[in-house]
This record gives sequence, C-alpha cells and structure tokens, in this order.
Amino acid sequence: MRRVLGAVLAVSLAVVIGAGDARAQGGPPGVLQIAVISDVTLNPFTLPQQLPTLMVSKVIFGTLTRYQPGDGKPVGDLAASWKTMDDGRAWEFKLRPGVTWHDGKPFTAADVKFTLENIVNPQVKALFRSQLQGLQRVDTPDDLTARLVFKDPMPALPIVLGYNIYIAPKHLLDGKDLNTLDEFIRQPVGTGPFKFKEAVKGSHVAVEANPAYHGGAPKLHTVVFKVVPDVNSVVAQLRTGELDLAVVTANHRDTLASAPNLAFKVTVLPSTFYLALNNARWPFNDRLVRHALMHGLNRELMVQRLVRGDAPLAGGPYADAFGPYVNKDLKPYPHDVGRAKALLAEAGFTPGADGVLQKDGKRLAFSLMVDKGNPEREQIALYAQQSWKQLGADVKVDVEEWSVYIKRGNQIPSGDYDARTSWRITSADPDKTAEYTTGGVNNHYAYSNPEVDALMAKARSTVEEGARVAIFRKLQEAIYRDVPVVWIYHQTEILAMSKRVKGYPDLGIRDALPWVHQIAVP
Amino acid sequence: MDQTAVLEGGMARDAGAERGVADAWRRFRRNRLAVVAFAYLVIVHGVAALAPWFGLPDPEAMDLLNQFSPPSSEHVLGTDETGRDVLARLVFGARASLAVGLAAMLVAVAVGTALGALSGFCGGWPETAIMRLTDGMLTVPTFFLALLVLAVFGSNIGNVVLVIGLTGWMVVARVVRAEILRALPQEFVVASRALGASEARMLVRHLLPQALPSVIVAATLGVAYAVLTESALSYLGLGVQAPTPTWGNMLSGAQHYVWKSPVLALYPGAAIMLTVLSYNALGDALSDTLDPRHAGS
Amino acid sequence: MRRHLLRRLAQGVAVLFVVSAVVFAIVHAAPGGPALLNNPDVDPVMAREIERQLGLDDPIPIQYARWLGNAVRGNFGRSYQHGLGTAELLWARIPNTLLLSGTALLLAVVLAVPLGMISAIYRYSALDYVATVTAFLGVSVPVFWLAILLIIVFSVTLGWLPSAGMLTVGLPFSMRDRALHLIMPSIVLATFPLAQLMRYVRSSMVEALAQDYVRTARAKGLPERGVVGRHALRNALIPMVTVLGVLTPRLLGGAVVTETIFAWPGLGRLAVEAAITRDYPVILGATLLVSALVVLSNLITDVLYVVIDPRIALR
Repeated sequence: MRRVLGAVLAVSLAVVIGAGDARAQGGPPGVLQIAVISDVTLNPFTLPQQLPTLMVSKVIFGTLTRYQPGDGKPVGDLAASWKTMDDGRAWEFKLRPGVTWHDGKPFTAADVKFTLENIVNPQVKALFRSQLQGLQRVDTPDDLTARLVFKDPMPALPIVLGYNIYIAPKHLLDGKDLNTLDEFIRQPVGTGPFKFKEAVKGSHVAVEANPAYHGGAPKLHTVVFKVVPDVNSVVAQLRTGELDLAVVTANHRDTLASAPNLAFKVTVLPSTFYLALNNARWPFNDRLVRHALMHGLNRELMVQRLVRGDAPLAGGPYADAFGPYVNKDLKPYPHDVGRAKALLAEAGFTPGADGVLQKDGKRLAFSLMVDKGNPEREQIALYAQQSWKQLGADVKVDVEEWSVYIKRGNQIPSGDYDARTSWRITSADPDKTAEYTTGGVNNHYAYSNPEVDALMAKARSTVEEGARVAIFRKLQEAIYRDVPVVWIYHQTEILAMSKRVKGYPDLGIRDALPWVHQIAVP
Repeated sequence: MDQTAVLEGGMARDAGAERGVADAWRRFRRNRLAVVAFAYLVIVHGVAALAPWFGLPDPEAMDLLNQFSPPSSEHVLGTDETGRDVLARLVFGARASLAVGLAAMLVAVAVGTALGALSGFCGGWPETAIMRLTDGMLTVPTFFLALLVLAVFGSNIGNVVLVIGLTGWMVVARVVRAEILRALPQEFVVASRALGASEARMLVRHLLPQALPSVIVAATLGVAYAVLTESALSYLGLGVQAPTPTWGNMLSGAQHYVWKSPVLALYPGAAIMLTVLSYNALGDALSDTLDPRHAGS
Repeated sequence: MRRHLLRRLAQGVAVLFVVSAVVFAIVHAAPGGPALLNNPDVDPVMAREIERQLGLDDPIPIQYARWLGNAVRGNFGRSYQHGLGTAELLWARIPNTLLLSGTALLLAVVLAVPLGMISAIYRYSALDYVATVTAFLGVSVPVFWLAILLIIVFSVTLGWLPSAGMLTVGLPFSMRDRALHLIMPSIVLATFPLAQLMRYVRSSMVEALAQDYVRTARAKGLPERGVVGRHALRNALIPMVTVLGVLTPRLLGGAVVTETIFAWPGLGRLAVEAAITRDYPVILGATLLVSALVVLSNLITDVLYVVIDPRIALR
C-alpha cells in the first residue's frame, strides 16, 4: 500500500514539475490579445449594445466616419469627404473609391443605402435606430455618393455615424431576415482591417489581417478577443502576458502598477456618472432639497478614494470629452454640510422625534437604487447613504439585479425609484435632448425646464459652430442651477496595455479599434 | 447502506460497543477533532450573539481616509477597501452568516421532517408521492436551481435562506422516514397504538423522538452545507447583499482586491472554512455518538 | 434488470418534464425581463415592440405550451443574447464540460480509493489522521477561494500554469497545451468529491474489514493483499458507486463556479450568464441539459451496480 501511495505522489510531482517550463511568455508575435467579458454576436443590425460585441465589430466592419487620434474629431473611414445641404437636413457623403468587402466584392453606395434604410426600418430590430431618427431616405446618384435626407437638421451627423453605425454588405444580406442572419453571424463579412476567422463561444473570437484594407495592410496578422468573465483572471492574464489589452478598474491599475510588462492609458469618456433624483417625486421636486443633497456629499473625497482612475469631479452635465461645448465657468458645488442643513431648513424640514428630518409630518426618507455586482458603484451608493444620513435623511440602499435595475430605472416620463445611480455613454455629440429635455427618452428622473427645452431645440437646428457652442454653454448654466441630478464624476477608461504593443492610437479602446491596422506586436 | 447514510459520510463508525449517555460523551471526548470543533463553534456562536456588546466600531461605517489600513489599536485587523473595520465586519458577518446557515438548516429540517414523517407514517400514495419528489430533487442540480431563483427574484437574506433550505431537505426527509419505519414495528409503538393513543400524539411523542438523533446529525451537516452554499452564491453575486456584512459577501468583495490586500480575502475565507469544517466534524462525531445504530453495532 | 432501467428512464423523463415547467414558471414570473430589452440605450417603445415579436406578452401557460411543443420536436428556440439556436450553443459547450468534470471525477476516484484504503488499513496512524483532516478541509473549503489561491501561487507567482481558458489562442492545438489548462480547474473541481469519496471509502473499508468473511479469509491465512483487494475492496466499492451518483449533481453545480473563475467555456458558465441576462431559451435549455446529464449518470450508476455485484441484477 505504501508503494501505491509512493507512486501516486511521484506521478503528481512529475505532473507539477513537468509543467515547470511552461511559464507564460505572452502571446506569439503578430498576435494581439484583447480581453472581452462575454461572447459576441456579429449581426450589424441587431447588435446587443455591449462593449464586447462593439469591440469586435469595429475591427471587422467599417463605418462612414471614425474619430481622429488625439482630438477625436470625425474623419473619413468608408467616406472620403462630406458636406451638408439644406440647413443640415441633408448630408452628402463621397465614398472612398476602391474599397472591397472581405469576399472581394466592391463596396458601393448601394451598401450604405441598404444598411441605413434598414436600420430605420421598423421591421428590423435595430438597436441603434434612435440615433438615425428622422432619416427619410438615402439617395445614391452614383456608386460613390450617398445622400442622407432627414426630416430635421442633424448638425452632429458625422459624429453619430462614427459611433456605432456599421455598414453591412448588401450583396450578402439583401432579402434575408435581418433579425436572425444565422449564416452571416457565423462568417461575417465586412470592410474592416481584419477578417473574421473563428469564434469559439465562451472562449474567443479570432480575426486575421485583411491585406486589401483601404488604410493599408495591418501590421498584426491576428487579433484575438478572449472571453474572460472573471476580473481576477483578467489581472492574472495581464501579468502573465496571456492578455495584451484590457479595460481595467482603477483598483486593478493600482495592483498592476508594479508589473514591469504593462503600461496604462487613461481616456476621458463623454459620459458622466451621477445619482439621479426623481424630480417627479417628493421631496426631490423641491430644488432646495436637491441642492442640499449636492452640498451634503463630499464628492471630491469620493472621486479621490472610491473612483480614482484620474476621473475628474463633475461640476455639471458635460464631460470634458465634449470639447469646446463644455462650459468651464461652472465650478463644482462645494462640500458644505452647514449649507446643506441650512438649505433643508429653508425647505421647511425640522428634526423629528426619531432624529430624521420631517416636513408636514412626512419623514425625509427615500431609497437609493444601485445595480448589483460592481463594487465601485455599490460603495458610492453606501457612502452617499452614510453622508446623507448625517444631514438627517433616512436613506435605504436598494441593491438590484441589473435587469430589474434597468427596467425600474429607465421608464419615462419618470422611473420607478426615488434615487438611483446612473450613467450614459454616448458619442461626443453634445445634443442631450434625450437626457435633459422634458419627456426625453433617457430622462427617467423627470427633469423639466422649458428654458432648457427651448435651448436644446435651438441647438439641434443650428449648424453654425460658434452659435452652437454658445447655445450649449448657456443651456448648461440652466441645468447646473437646477441640479436635476447629483453629478459625481466624468467617466474615464483605463486601458492596461502590454509594453509589447506598439503604435496604439491616442484614443479610448472603442475609438481606437478602427485604427487597429496601425498597431504592431513584434 | 442507503444514500442517506452515504451522504453523512461517517468517519468513525467503527467505535466499540459502549452504551449509555456517559459512554457516548466519553466517546465524543475521545474524538479530539470533534472536541476542538465544538469548542470553536461555541466561541464563534457566542461572539456572534454578543457582537453588539463588544464595543466594536460600526461594521458599516466607511472612512475614506483610512482605506486598507494595517492593523492598529483602533482597527485590530485593519480596514477594508472603504475603511470599514475588518474585525467588526468579521464579527457582525458571523452573525449574518450563521443566521443564514441556521435558518436555512431549520427550513430544511422542518420541511424534511414533515415530509419524512408523513411518508413514513401514512404509507400509501402520500409515501409514493413524497419519495418520488425526494428522488426527483436529488436528481436536479439544485445549485443551478438556487442560483436561477436568486438571479431572477433578487437575493435578499430571506430568499437566500429559503432557497438554500428548500434545496437541502431531502436528506432529512429520508432519515426521518427510515427511522419511523424502523420504529413502527417496535413493541412500545405497537403497545401505545393498542392502548388507543391518537395517531398524531403517537407520531409526536414516540416516533419523532426516535428520529431525533439522526435529525440532529443531518441538521449539523446541513448548517455546513448552508454556510458553504451562501459563500458560493456570494461569489456569483447572488448571496446576501450589501450593506449587511456576511462572510460570503466579504469574501466576494475582497476578491476584487485580492492582489492589493490578500488578507481581506484570507480572514472571511478562513472563517468560512473553519466553521464549515467544525460543523462537519461535529456532525460526524455526533453520528458516531448519537446514532443508536452506530452506538450499538 | 431491463425493466428496472426502463422504469428509471421513465422517471428521469418525468423529472425533466417537471423541471422544465418549474424553471419556466420561475423565469417568467420574475420581475424584470430579458436584458436584451432592458438595455439603457434601447428606447422603451422599441423594447415593447421586440417583446411582442418574441411572444413574451402572451400568458405564461400559452408560452409554456408553445415552448414545450417546439422542445419535443428538438427546437429549443433562439438565444436572445447570442442570436444563435439554443441547441447549437449547448452542443458546443457539452464536450468542454464533460472534459472538465470527467477529468475531475477521474482524479477524485483515482486518488480517493487508494488514499481511503490506506487510511482504513492504517487506521489511527499519523497518516490516517493527516488524511482525515485533509479530507475535512476538502469538503469545507469555499471552492472559489481555493481557486484564487491556486491562481496566485501557480500562475502569478510561479508562472507554471495558465490562469484561464482551455487553450493558448494562436498556437496550434496540442495535448500538452490542453492538459496544462486543465490542471488547475480539474483540481479545484475535484476537491469536494475527492474529499467526500475518500471519507467514504475509508469508512466503508473499515466496515468491510470488520466483516466476518474478511476475518475468515484472514484466519485461513490468505495474504493480506488478497484479503484487502479481493474481499474488502469489492464490498467497499458498491456503496461508493452510490456516492458517485449523488456527487454528480454536486459536481455540475461546482462546475458553475469553477468554469467562471477559470474562464472555461462550459455549460455552467453559459447557464450563469443566461440567468443573469435573462436569456430564457438558454436558461431552459441549459437547466434541462444538466438535469438530463444527471439522469443519465444515475442510469450509468445503476448499470455499474450490476457490473460490480451481479447479485443485484437478481433483485
């Protein structure tokens, strides 16, 4: 029996030692390994809007425009140039000549017409339809010209088109049910720098270089999108070189800072994280209460200690990524507990018997809803609870599973919540009709100010740049004064990148991927 | 040997043929692992019960200027990612974790005893139906079912207790049924039935006490199962939710900081493991000491 | 024997039927709805329209009848998240899950039987004591905690083993590569069944060694190896088969956590993702498939009984 045990031990030792020379050295040269958290579905019409699918789409498909490294201005991708007509109601795009699909067929204006008209076709479950709202038709005077005609002016169209509007091949998809596309999603064909190679569900998607790419042959031969659902695995694989690029949290950036093989890139996103206060409900219908809650929160400390990641404290509704449109005169409301308490007293609140403030017999009690599973957001909610309790409010944190959180939270004209955490990632188009105008589709906190409504409508129909900037700056002042929500910080993206990666463009990961042909991994 | 006994996975069935409570206690004491386990459990439960009276800091109070601080006189085990006192969270976490474990066990024992007794005592179609249900439940991957229910209905403490309890009663039902079937033909039962004792009275006074030792064993192992399951559900984000600290959600929270501060994961992980280990060891020793079959063999 | 197996098969089908109804009721009764429709960037009008197209606005019994009608014909619907047929998604994952759980089970049996036997034979020795405590640790350790510790030690600190996935993408397939990826997940998944089995082998071995026929065999002067191997072991194996049957659901449950940590593309992870995104067709398909695997493993257990002990067939 002892011999049996000895044999078992010997075998296990041999296995362990035999594995010894397998120390991970990073991926093979010419292969870029990018982390995604879940599987992808490459239907260019019904894409679930999840980062993994968008990331893979951006290297396989082309868009009419993309964003220039550095300043993020829209420049041509499949379009070579464009001009606006009819006060911004029509746009004419001259397409890049000589572009071919991955199957060798030529790319023409017919593909653009096919794609865009189907996105707005109600029969197609296109998730990006709202971005092209009001598109009436696409005219194609010749093979390399597409003229988009809208009902209303679309001053920011070139920004919108570069965001998520992928052009699909008409010759493969015409007449098919665009909602399913069984064959196509198994072997998608685009015009992008990389061609689809294989997708193993739950494991990875691999794409290979498209030598005929209009921007020049890619320097990499393969890009692998690895499905890694566990955050600790992402960290471990970055360290071992099993991953070259991954979006990480500030906390993991701190952890990885000591890894000699990694560098980091922080990009400011056109997105703001805030605590939404349901303006349709008592007591948030009172501006004084909203102001009090803003002053009562030490947002600077929260951003510094809980968010980190170089995220800027949010003074108002517009992140720095909106460039010239941001009104820099609006300074963040200071943390001032005394002022917060005074504002609540002014609003008519007096301490009740149980220590909680009350007004007309109603206690200042509300719940704060947060989505489950993200430690940073949960911590923000818990810290807000603690801070607002010190003002005399009875706050209950309500941790909800994602689909419940969204379903309850994203209703219009007002969500089914008192207060909640929220954010919204958009393109750099400064038009926030959806978020800050009465009845806007993302205005679940029921904010309504006729002055803002009017200014936003005016901005939408103003094409001249200087005038547009002035309008946006003015409407930000009005929103800032009202404090419809408690802005916390403007979001950043932290990209952990292997030092093997060369030529990564100066953009966030979403916008950098259309330039992936310039990246090299020697 | 049936599956029930299998699940208990006894270690020390080979003890000698002593009888009586004093002997049982003596045999229990001889199992050093069980004695240590028992002592540990007494301490842990005592600490959990008395948690508010130790003068510990508020386990939910964040201090953003004191994140990840090392042990100090103010914070004996240091602080976590939001500056909360780790020791206080461990102690109050014990309260929630043990409460979940014990409550889930009570649910399992209540359901299992009721169904087991009903099926053993009534016979006929109720027995068939209940035993089919039990077989079926043993066939279903219950962890799947548990996580599904929590994913769709939300994981508050009540749901977690119910889900763990309702997926863990099958062993108890089988044990109780087996004990009742064993007891039914015994003389005192036959006698009391002849004397005209009511059925319900007989069940409660005579039959269930026969099953008690086995139920205690199953219940002890049930707590271990419940505590371990809560921690696995927590890892998947489906355990008891913040701000209530439990060992499971402390551990799942700490996994985000496992590189920066591994001790944050070490404490609750060790607490879970030691507690589950102790309950398992205790259950084993009890099955040796209490179960008449083993004591008599 | 055949009648017995057929009856068990019928029971298994009944279990699957009940499971499908219960799971269907649970997912559809819950608040919320598919994540597909609860996307912050989909406007609510659009979402209601898609909901109607998916038939989610019908009464639940009607939806169930429709699903069941399709399911018996082998059509499990289309995944909301993946846009592919559910059956296709599941089929792709089965080999991976079987590979992982199979390796883990094999590891558990191969190690548990000799270790349990040694423990039983050298009862109360230091070896037995160590084995006993280790087994207790094995059934008590939180799986994901163990996994994280292993990753820290073997992937990050020592750099011996890959921390996740089942292959090195970009390299040609090799057995060695696959084996390296398999080591940590299968050890983690094997821990609980290994410890449980070992405890069980030990106790049933101890029981068997105390039986009359073993004593008789010993008294007859048979060599110890023959006594243990031929008589005691065989009798100890019978109940062990039962344990294996009971451990299978537990193993598949453990696979959920293990697959998530090690990014192993198996059924368990698919099911968790489906549960979280409310991908109804996949939730139903995965639960049914896992239940079917358990039913199947129970049938195999039944057959194994007969193989090990032909007397059972006479029952």
